[in-house]
Amino acid sequence: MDHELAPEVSELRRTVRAFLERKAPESAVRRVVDEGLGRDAEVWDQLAQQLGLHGLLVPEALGGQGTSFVEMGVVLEEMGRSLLPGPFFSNAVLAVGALTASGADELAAELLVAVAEGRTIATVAFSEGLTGRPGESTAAARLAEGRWRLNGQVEAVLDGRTADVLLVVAPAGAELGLFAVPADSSGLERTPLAGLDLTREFARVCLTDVEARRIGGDFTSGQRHVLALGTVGIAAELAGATQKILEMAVDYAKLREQFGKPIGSFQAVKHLCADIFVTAESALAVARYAARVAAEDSEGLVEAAALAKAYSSEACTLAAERNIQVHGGIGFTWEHPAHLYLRRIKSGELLFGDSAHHREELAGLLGLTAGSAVGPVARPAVRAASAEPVRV
Amino acid sequence: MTATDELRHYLDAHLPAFRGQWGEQPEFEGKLAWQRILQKGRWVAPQWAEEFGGRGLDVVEALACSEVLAEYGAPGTAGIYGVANVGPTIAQWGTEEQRRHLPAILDGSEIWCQGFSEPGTGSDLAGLRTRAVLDGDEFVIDGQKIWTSDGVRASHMQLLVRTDPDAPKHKGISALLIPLDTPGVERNPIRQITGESEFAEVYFTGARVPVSSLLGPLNQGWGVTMTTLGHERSGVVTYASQVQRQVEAVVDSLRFDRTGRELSPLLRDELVRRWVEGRVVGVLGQRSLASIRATGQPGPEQSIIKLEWSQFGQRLAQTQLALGGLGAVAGPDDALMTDYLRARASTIAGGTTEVMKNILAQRVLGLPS
Repeated sequence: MDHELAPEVSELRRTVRAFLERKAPESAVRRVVDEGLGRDAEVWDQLAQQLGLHGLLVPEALGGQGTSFVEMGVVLEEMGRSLLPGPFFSNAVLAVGALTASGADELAAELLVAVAEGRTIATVAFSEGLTGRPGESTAAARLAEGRWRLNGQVEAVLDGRTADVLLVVAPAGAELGLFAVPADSSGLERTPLAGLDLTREFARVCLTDVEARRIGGDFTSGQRHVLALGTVGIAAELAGATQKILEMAVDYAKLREQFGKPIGSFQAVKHLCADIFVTAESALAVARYAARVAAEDSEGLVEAAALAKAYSSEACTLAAERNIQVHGGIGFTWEHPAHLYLRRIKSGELLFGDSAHHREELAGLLGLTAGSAVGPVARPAVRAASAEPVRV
Repeated sequence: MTATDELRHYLDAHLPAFRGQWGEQPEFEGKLAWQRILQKGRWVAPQWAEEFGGRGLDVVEALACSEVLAEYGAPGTAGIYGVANVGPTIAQWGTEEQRRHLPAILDGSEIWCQGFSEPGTGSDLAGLRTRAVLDGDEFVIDGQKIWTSDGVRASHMQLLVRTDPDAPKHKGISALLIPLDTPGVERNPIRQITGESEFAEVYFTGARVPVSSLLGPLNQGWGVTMTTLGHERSGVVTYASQVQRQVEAVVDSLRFDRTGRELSPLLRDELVRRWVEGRVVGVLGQRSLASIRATGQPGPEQSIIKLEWSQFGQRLAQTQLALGGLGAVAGPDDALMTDYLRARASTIAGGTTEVMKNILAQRVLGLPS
């Protein structure tokens, strides 16, 4: 399944999978969830120190690995697969993405070093885009006596409760600014939110005259870039989780017997499993494609991200639902992990925009929105796929 | 100069003149003429050995050549089943004498079809009942084939027959190579739902062919057939990029047509869905290509590509019809309507969607039969 990856990337994937299978099995995931820990501190430190994963996207000069999004993609696949709880994604993808997109800056460099070392956990409070809908944040910045102050509310911040530093995106005059807000800032209030996904934490963040340091200049295109990276990252998580869904469904269909034979011998169940397989392979292919585009840092990133998420959001949720159907009653119990995957995948479906959102985005990118038109008999030069002769 | 560069030069030199004579989308006669032109440069099947009319390219180079042909919008060839399926099977199993068909397959002087399905055996191919009985040094064939693609215009057939009625069904089948002008062979076109006739039913009544017609060992025709089906596999990469091209072309044609109405939000969304599906199949093709590069074989994604391609074709035809508005049900050009109707075959021919999902579940996922 790894032929499209370079050998060293495959090796990274194997290493991370082995590590997570050993250190973060389902029992450990449930402990973190049940005890409300947010993350397993020991695993978190080892991810930083032994595997150097927090700094994958941090330049080597700042103590990171300086690898590309291809490597990050396979790591996120494995985290989706293992349901690893914790702020890895916010920290190593969103915050690092925002800091690197902000342009060279002393504070940004300082934070990147701390993140790579695992000393600091950072996250991003977007001005919009976490769920692909406007109106998520009223945060705004104003300059008074040479200092930036933030006021307003951000409806949901991923890992907003556990982060040591919040990177708040907020209008600053005519521009959009990126602001660093340490968690102990006065006037900062963080309220944990109930989450569909038990392995992903959100907090509402209220800012009342909070003093903040601005990083870099206008962050309008920076935020767009980070949102696209986040979209590609979630697509990788979805792909990894769906691989696991496939294994669960197939294993159970082989094991569970009804009417004197394994349920996997019934065509209806076979077809459910085959459909999950189609989704798992397609989601992986499209997530890796998007990660390659992200690694090239090309203009095609927004389109590739939208393509990946337009596909995976809908399809992976359907796969997680089908998995519960294959399992029958046992799949509806709290004890069975099927719901943990459904929760993680469903929340991933909505994060950074669902399929409909990304199709709308694509319609714009493809020039199909207002202004483009279709003739009464639009006859394309190329005909439908089935116009090719078929073999019987 | 790489093979693809050489092919580009060849196409630049020959394609414009061909188009001048035959147009953009030629019918069978035009495709046959194009196949002859293409084969003068040994480009019909560049992955075949040189002695048979190919260039001995590896599968990755050959796929790159298919991409170039697609990029130029070159017409298809006439004898598609011979080139894609029968030829490679003859190359693997055929005797010296049988291999003499190979250059003829490439230059279009022989058009091959495959006599597989029968009235009683569609999905259950191994249940076939057309019999061949050895009589001296001849096989005597009796039975009927149906849904034979290209069956009316083909000159030859790779025919599956039962040669041991007492053996378990997979073990009593043999493959024969026969000319269709053999006495005792009769064919009728099947008029299909589009009104066209792309398939034939073929009757065998005491048809006699020499024993040298046997391809591969006696009673091992099932294994020989599997080779035939296997040869379609790396072709899925080509399918995948075709799908991507098709959907991009559809979107492009709608974007630049300024004469009519605007797309409604729902139609636009449907069109973008098709674009997403087409691109996903294209990306699966790239993944398949990576497997072929690494192992010489496509991975399990190839079965998905066929499955998705067939369903995608139907959905795209539906979407195009929806976008055509009134002109799609009553207009001067019935091509969209024909495409829509023809697309119904894509989830039936070459293995129904349901059977393909069974096969995928059993062979790839290891579920019990």
